[in-house]
Amino acid sequence: MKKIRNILLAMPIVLMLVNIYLIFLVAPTDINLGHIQRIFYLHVPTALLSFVVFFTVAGLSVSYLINKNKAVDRLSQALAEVGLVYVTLALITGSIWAKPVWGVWWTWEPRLTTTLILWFIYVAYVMVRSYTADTNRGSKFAAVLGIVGGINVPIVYYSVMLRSIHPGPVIGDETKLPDSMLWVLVFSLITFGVVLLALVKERHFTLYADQVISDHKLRRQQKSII
Amino acid sequence: MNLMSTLLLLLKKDLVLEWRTKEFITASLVFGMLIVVVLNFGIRLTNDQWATAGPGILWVCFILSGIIGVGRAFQNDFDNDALIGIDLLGVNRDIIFLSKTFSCLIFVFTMELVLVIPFIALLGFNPFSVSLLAVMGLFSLGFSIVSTLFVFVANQTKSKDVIMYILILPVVLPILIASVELTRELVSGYELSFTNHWIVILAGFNLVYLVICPWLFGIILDE
Amino acid sequence: MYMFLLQANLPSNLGYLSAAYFVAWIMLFGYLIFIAKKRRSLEITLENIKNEDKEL
Repeated sequence: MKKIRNILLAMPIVLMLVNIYLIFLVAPTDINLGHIQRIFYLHVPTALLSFVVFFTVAGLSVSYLINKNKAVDRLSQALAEVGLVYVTLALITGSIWAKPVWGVWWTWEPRLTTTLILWFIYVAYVMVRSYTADTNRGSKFAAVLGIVGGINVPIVYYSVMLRSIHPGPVIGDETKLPDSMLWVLVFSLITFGVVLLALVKERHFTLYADQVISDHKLRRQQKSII
Repeated sequence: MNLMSTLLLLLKKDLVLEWRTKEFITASLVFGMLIVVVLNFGIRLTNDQWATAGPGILWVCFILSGIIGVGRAFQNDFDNDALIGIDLLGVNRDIIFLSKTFSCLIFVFTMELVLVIPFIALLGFNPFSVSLLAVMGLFSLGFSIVSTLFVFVANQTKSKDVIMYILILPVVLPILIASVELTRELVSGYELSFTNHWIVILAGFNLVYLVICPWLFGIILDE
Repeated sequence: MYMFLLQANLPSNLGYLSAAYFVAWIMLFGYLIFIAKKRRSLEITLENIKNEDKEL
């Protein structure tokens, strides 16, 4: 059992090292942007995964409210926490990328704004849970937020898009990515995905252990009363 | 007793309570007036600039005062566990939710109507038109639906006042954008039409949350 | 060769690039350490629980 866990922990580290090698030494330097374009392999996977994770949390939240399965709730909590780390990363790296390329740290463009709102919803999700004394209630509230957030994100995207239709710079005119870059991106996406799963697995274990310990305490209290 | 009369009865209860305590209106109006006063010293705009910046300032003012208001409005219900009591009577939970939402709607709408006056009088910016009433109505409905759910959630957490803002503001962002843009269009002389995409966003938002929020409210009222 | 000359004229922005990756590693490692610490203390508690159960 321990061996399997060690392998699972080693895999993301190995992948990450290979990923670094690919990003800095194999991927071609962008003709228009130069080396700074290499942030792309960090920014795009984290941003993409944080949205995937968030919609997964929304789905799990629906399932939790219907079936009240505690394992589902623990999984969504672990996912949301790691998702918060990822979305924070996506925002920071995006901003660092934007400064030299666009000349500003931030623009209120639909994708950026939606990501920022996603960040706020993630923060609220984690906060509501930890600020509610009763854990069952906290889980329910978090699930409610997960669902409302999942519905809200597309609406925010759409309304910000409508707002910025008139003026604004043309950003992200997607010219086709050359294959050599695409493969590095795919590899990076897989790497960050595996890292995400490893982090979620570890966080899930601590949540599970918390549950076991509190159940145990409860049983002991009941015994001592009898 | 059928659903409609139950709804009206609960609504009447909230209105009578508000009439006696005046908690929502006092809290939100005083706060809103203060924002207007502070804003006057915070910014200095020419008439042209008011036309672009004014609508945004107006709606930020509405939204912040609105949140202060709804935070107060539910206090009685929580202090006395009144919602749980009504639930135990076997009242349909959707009806409980809707009665709260509609009373909220009435309070928020009234607050907005009154708050426009100091805006015109003190800041010299007049956004008012009959069409604006429609925008205010649609916004207030969406705002009330979302905040009824979230104030209920926030009230059972440790630091209610902070959580309330963090929950409500990101979610009402789409209707805030829509209302601000609509007001801007109205101020610059456009006519309102049902096919305006901001109206569609406002209506769509209300429709979606009017379906989902009662369901979620019913689930979390369990305990 | 021509490509190389082109690239030489580009602003390298290496500061921004390294800053981004630095922040990323710090955050991921920070979160990992946070979990690892939690995990260690929980494992000790779980061990204690097992021992207590044996004694009972």
